Amino acid sequence: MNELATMLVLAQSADGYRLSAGGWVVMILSVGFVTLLLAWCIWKVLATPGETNKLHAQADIDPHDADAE
Amino acid sequence: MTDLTKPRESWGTRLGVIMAVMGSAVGLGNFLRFPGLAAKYEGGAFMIPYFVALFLLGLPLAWAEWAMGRYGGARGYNSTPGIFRAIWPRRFSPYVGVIGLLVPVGIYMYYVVLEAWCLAYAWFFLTGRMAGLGQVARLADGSINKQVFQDFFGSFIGSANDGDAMVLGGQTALTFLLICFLANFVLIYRGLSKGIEKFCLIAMPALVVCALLVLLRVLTLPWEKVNPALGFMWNPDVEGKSLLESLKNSKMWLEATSQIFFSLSVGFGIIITYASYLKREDDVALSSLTSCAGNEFCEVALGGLITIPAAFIFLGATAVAEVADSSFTLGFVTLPMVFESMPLGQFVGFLFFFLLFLAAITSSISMLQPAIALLEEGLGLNRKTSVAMLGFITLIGAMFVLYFSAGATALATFDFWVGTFFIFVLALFQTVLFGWVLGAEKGLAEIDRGAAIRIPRWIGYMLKYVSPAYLLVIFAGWIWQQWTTEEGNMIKAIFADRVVGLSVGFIVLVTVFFLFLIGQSVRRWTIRDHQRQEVSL
Repeated sequence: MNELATMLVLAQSADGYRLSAGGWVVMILSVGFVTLLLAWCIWKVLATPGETNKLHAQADIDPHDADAE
Repeated sequence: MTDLTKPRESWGTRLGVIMAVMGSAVGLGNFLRFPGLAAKYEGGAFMIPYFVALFLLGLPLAWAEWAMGRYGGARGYNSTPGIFRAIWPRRFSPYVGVIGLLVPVGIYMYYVVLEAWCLAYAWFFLTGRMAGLGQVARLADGSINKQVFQDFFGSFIGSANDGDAMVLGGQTALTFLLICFLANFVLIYRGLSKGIEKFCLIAMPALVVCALLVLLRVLTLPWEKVNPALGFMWNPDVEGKSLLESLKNSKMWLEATSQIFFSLSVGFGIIITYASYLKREDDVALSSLTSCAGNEFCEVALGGLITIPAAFIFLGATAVAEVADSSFTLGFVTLPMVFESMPLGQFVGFLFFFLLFLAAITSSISMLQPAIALLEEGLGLNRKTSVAMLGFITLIGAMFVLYFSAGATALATFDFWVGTFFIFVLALFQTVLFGWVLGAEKGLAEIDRGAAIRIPRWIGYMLKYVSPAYLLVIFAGWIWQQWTTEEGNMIKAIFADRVVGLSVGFIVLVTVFFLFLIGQSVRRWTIRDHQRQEVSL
């Protein structure tokens, strides 16, 4: 009986969080923006000749000293 | 590591390069810290300061750091104190660079603890311990008892009492921490990053695929469960609290800003150090943007759609906030429950936490480079001596964080002061440095050099006027909140809570040590400058 009551309370509180129109807008804008931005970057890198030689991340940058030892 | 003068055949396809750039940015912040903060600040409302910070600070400052780093590198400096000195040749400027050493080293001290948790959870999934836990937690109606997973995690990290996690031998947090620490130390000490980089070329796409699988599992749960979970994450207003009311919380703005910085590694002193090793013709504009885009995709589209909705579905709204006692802990309770309820959960769980561990280790390796750069260029030490010295300091720090495990207080304190407050201060200084000292026009010209994209000119005005003003307003708001409220008061906690006080004391000690090293470095640089002047005369 107690469990049932707890489940009902949980169900009610969950209903209070139903995705609102504002929630849909925030979700679509947020996820859509980051996905499109990444897609555009990938396209730009692929479409620019020689770009891969000039593109770097900290993982592939040589701090020169590492090989000195 | 890659020789920047050679063509990139070793990177394979162009897509491989993109994956490497993306992978470099992905870390624990995406899947653990971001969801934890979003849960703490009512999800959807948090996204507003988050995206404002991304546009006003994150992206512009990332470009600025890459540009200032390369500018300083061209003048013979690789550490933040040295680069600041090159851009702003004043007596005090190298000393401000202490924050660029303190932040990555301080974060490393608790980041390696989190890494250990990831490795441990991967091990627990691999060896079937999690499956056993799942059987215990499975209730008669097929649902999962969250308390079992919460208790297991709490017991593993020693959240009940200080010192509980300091048990050596067996599958304890200390054992995994020592393994992680040793792995980090060997990789950095011997400069063996090359192997792990190549491994990450496969591992990072695998992490994304793995996250997509988990996302699929979460979103294909019954819609009546998924809908409110998504609502919890994305609704801009919540029951009993309007959006405006949520937005009045200046600490939320501060932490959203810090999350952008933490996640993009901006204001860390890391990008600026690594960029100093780049060549003049390298493309810092697109490198930075691609890295940020990859990071944001993993954080918002994957981290945001997985951890919080999963937490809501399995734990409920109230419990989500309770579990998120530290920003990082949420994923360790909720994700195992998701894996437990999906086909091949044991394997996917192992893969996810192991890949997360790999993502973390690539990040942590880079965290010591700013301090190594100072010890080498400022004090003339070789790499191995520098790494040994830093290894000793960070080991003490990591043990400190692990020992004061009750309520994860030390971890949360380090994360706030080093991973939020000082990142913020460094970012503020860097906007001033770029916009006012180096000059926006000169700075933009540095970003443009070798770039495939031309960033909008208004980014210069943004960095000169808007970004510092925005940072100052949030900072003033936070100070006002600290002054006027008791709840969550981080300044008063220093004097009221013994562990918080000790943690801040430890941070101060490390700062003093770095200031001493900078003083010695400045002395050497000054002598070198005089000698060069004499030669030129």
